[in-house]
Amino acid sequence: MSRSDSVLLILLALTATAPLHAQAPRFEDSMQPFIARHCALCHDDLEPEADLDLTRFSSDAAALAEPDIWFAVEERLLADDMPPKSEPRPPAAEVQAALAWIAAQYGSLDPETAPPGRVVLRRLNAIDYANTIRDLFDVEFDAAGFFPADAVGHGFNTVGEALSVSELTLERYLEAAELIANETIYLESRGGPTKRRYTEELEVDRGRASDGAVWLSMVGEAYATHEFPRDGEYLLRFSGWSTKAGDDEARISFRLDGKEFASFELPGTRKEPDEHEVRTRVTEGRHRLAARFMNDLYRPKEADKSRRDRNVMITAIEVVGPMDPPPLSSFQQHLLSDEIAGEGSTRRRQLRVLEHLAERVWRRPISRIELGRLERTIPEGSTLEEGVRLGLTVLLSSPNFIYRIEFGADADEGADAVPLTDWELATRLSYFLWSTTPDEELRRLAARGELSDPEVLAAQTTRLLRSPRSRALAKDFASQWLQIGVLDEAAPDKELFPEFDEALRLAMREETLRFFDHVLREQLPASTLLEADFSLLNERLAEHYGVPGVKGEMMRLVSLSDTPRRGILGHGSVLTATSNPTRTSPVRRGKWVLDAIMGMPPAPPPPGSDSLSPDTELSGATLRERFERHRENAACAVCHDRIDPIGFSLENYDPIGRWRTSTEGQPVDASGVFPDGHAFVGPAEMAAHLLLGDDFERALVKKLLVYALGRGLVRTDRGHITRILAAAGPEPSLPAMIHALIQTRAFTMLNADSTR
Amino acid sequence: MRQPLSRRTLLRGLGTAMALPALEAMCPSTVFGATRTPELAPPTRAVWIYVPNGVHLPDWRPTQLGTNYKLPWILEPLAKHKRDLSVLMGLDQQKARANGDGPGDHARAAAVFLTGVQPLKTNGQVRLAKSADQVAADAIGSLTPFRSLVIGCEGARISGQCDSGYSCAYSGHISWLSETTPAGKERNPRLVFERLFRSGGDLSSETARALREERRLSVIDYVLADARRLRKKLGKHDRNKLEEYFDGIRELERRLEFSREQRSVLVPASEAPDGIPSDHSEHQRLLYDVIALAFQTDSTRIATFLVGNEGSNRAHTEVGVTQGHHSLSHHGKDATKQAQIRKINRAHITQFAHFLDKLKSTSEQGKSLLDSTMIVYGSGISDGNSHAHHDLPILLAGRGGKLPTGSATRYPDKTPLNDLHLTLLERLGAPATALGDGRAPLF
Repeated sequence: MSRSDSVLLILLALTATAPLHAQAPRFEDSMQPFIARHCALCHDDLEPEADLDLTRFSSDAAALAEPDIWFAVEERLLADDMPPKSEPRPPAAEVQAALAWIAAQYGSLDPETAPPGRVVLRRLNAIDYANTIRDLFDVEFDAAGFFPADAVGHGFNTVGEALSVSELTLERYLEAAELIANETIYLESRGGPTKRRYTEELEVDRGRASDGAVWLSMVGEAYATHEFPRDGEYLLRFSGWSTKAGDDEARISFRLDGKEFASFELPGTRKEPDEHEVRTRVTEGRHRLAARFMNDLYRPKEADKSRRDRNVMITAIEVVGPMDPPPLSSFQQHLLSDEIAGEGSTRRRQLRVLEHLAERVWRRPISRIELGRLERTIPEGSTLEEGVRLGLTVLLSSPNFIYRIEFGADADEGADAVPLTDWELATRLSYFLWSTTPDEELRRLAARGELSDPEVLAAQTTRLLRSPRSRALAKDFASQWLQIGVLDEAAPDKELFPEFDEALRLAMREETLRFFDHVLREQLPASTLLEADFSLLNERLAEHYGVPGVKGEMMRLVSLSDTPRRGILGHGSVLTATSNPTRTSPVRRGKWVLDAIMGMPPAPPPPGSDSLSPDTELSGATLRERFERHRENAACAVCHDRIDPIGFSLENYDPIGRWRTSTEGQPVDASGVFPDGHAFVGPAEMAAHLLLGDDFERALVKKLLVYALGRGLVRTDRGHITRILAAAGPEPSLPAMIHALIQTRAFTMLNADSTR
Repeated sequence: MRQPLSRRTLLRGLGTAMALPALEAMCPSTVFGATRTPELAPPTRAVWIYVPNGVHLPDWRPTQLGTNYKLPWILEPLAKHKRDLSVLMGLDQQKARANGDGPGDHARAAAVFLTGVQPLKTNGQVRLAKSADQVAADAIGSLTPFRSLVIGCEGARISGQCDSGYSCAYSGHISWLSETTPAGKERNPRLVFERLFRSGGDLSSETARALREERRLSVIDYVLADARRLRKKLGKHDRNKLEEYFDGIRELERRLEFSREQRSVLVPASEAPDGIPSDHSEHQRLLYDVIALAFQTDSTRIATFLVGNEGSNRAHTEVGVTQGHHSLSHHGKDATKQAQIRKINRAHITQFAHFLDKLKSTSEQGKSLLDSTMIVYGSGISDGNSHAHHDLPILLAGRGGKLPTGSATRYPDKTPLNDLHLTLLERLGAPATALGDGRAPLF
């Protein structure tokens, strides 16, 4: 029986013995005797272990004043590592009685009744925002560059508590709403195309400006730099005349940014100048529009004095446009079509369109009252487009868009948990798996009230996971889980590691994200993340790893079975991000594994100890020897006994993740012993040890929960976690975990007091 | 796919940088004079500037006290402002120490700098206090279109791990609106400019701006009603969260009212700087210029500038330093590393000197802008190697508030830095009786 099964059994037993509102067991009858028999040997008032004296409590009242102690006790009992393994095991019935007292006081851990938990109102983060705008309107909006940076909580940027809104953020939201509405709904240009005539402002290259025109007496040009407001068709004109010489007429090359698009002769005279016009497409932005004199001629000996010198006078350059109607997006065409807008008055059509938009923007239908208020906001007499644009600005500025609001469905009086509405569920599901707003199918199911059916929910989970959009899980979840962002700041010493460049950094990041995506998509066991004998590499990274036969920039599946490299602990991204610029840091690597991978972050070093530098204070020995001496200090050893063996097992990887067999002139010693006495050599054996039991899967489920729910975990989430692990089955894949997670009360329900 | 937003270059903040033109030329006195009722004297302004990772103290601290001290190497670029400048020594931020909270000195150093309050150490929540600049903004922010200006060069860390279990919000913000809400920080010079002078997009004419602001007011009316409805239905925790939305809306409303009542400052959009330049010195300079411009146009009287997030590991390649700043700051007394550190420190001071130049050369009613401005420049860490938070490196510049300047002064040990903040608040006309661990104005 695995440990998670046994915990589940205990939990089930608890449900039977300690219904929540039944007569609660008393401290004196349950916990106190347990402490006296099984804990007091160490945790008494005489030099208590870990400074924890459990014998000082004698009543419910006294004990309840310090809940954290009981949560810790519960944790240890459930993990079955207190009393220490060296001591006899307490009888199961006594453990249950002790646990029942805690559950009665602080809430059930039973997944059937555990509270869903309190999620603080979440606003869209910059990633959600940009994706949502892209998917709703087909507009690319750089939210991360426009809004103040999002804060991160519990390791993720989805946590409501951390996502604050300052004055500046709010102002930017309103401005973004305007920009996006303007970009989504083009207005018919009312005053027609604009005209700009350059005369005095003409600029000259190899010529002379005089009397508001440009005199070109040799090959040269008159030009204007014009800002074209958008892509479109423009009338480009110039006018001028010439003095004559030779047989040819003066020739003008009409050029945009130095490239000829038309060529004209200029036979006109001062009295009857020529005007030429071309209608052509020009892209948005500043362009240099030039009339260039091409065929200068000077014949001083020509008999006819009036035909001795061919020169050109450019009197004006003119831009008119855009001439074509503004291009309508297919989105706008669809929106304003009869299908959506329908027939009738402008006002009726506006409101139909806005009702349609509101359901998408607010992720729920708009109420009659809300629509009525919207109607009053739009001035009388505005055109269909104007009204829709203003209405859309309002919808995008509203807290109903910016925040993911959850009220829950109506529930029975007195219930302590309420189910989410179907719309709220669709929103949670979509932002969790896709980092974006619900698509049409989710909206349809939500509108019909079908999504909350567990089978429908499961089918939709499968559909979303299979869609390419679930790459968001790699990009947004895995990158934060594995702390890949740190790679961007890694600065390997340029002299020691000249081969480290941006292309390599990019390939390393891509490898990890694509590898995670592959394990997810292929439904491989989650343990593959640590054990895989394959990865996704391009030529650059394969060479870096010493793997032959990979050509080109494209990342592709590559077998690593001939190499010792296994799983993400062998990824350049992770290994580089956890190294110092000039050397590896077994401590940072070990801490990273414990924290990110195993969910057991070591305690921070005690005050004063963080200034101890193994580099300077213990010189002469190898890095490993320096660390071993440092570990002789008992205060350090508590944590470093766990950290260092893991870190040193990865010593075969250099600071930029290449395999090495020697360092500092010595062979690499990648052997180690875990605190439980288990010895290993090298990263693969170390990883295999990490995968004993379900600690790794449990830690991963916790990270997924934080990310999906947008809140830190609390004691009662233990029930949800156990349920997820049980439902995901043995050797669970990522999709299995995600399916199980989505079916828990934590995901589908709200604490009833959330809305009180 | 449709073309992306038409303002895409702007929104992405790309492009090469352009220096702001001379301020004087941009604000002809007629326009400037029309923006507010004439006052007898220019208003007093304050700006707090923060640099990360401490400094190399041997080249920062003068060896003599009084007015006849020699500027140490790092401070040499400030030579011509020596009379408008004081080097303050002996000031502490006690609450940046562990005080039982373990490591995380970088997060604490920035959090404490303008609050004097020990930040709550958890991964998810933040709890700190309103910062000195925001206390000032509460008192005098309503006199100007913008309560305050909050800027910095660096965005957020992408990774959740900022400093030993502290929320990333601490190391990335020195300005705090409340216990739980850091003030949003702007880093794109162009966006700051456009916000101050409402010159973004096609808002070339006053009519276009007025139209947009009218529209904005109607949007605000609607969304405020939305928010009020939500507030009634939401639980207590969510209501607190929504309060941030209300605060933001109210401030925006106030600004719109403000610009309705008074003719706003017209600074031509063509004078706007481009986005974020790749050169870090240039980036600082552009942001300093925007602060000067904001003061000159009386758009605000309060600013903070976080030159780099605390713990920043930026490679200051603009001055030839290729290793990360934070890594270098743990120099372990290695002379090569210390040389790099002081180089970074001096590069920061060089840009600061440029800021003082700018203020000094901008005149207002016959005096220089520097005469009406109080500037605190410093770090919440004194020596980066030991993470010390006592005897902090602090400069005080400008003659605003009739501050005494021109000397090197040492205060008794454990004098809270917050006492200096209390001085500034008092001289700003925003006296506070309590601010973190502050006791009484320093002078």
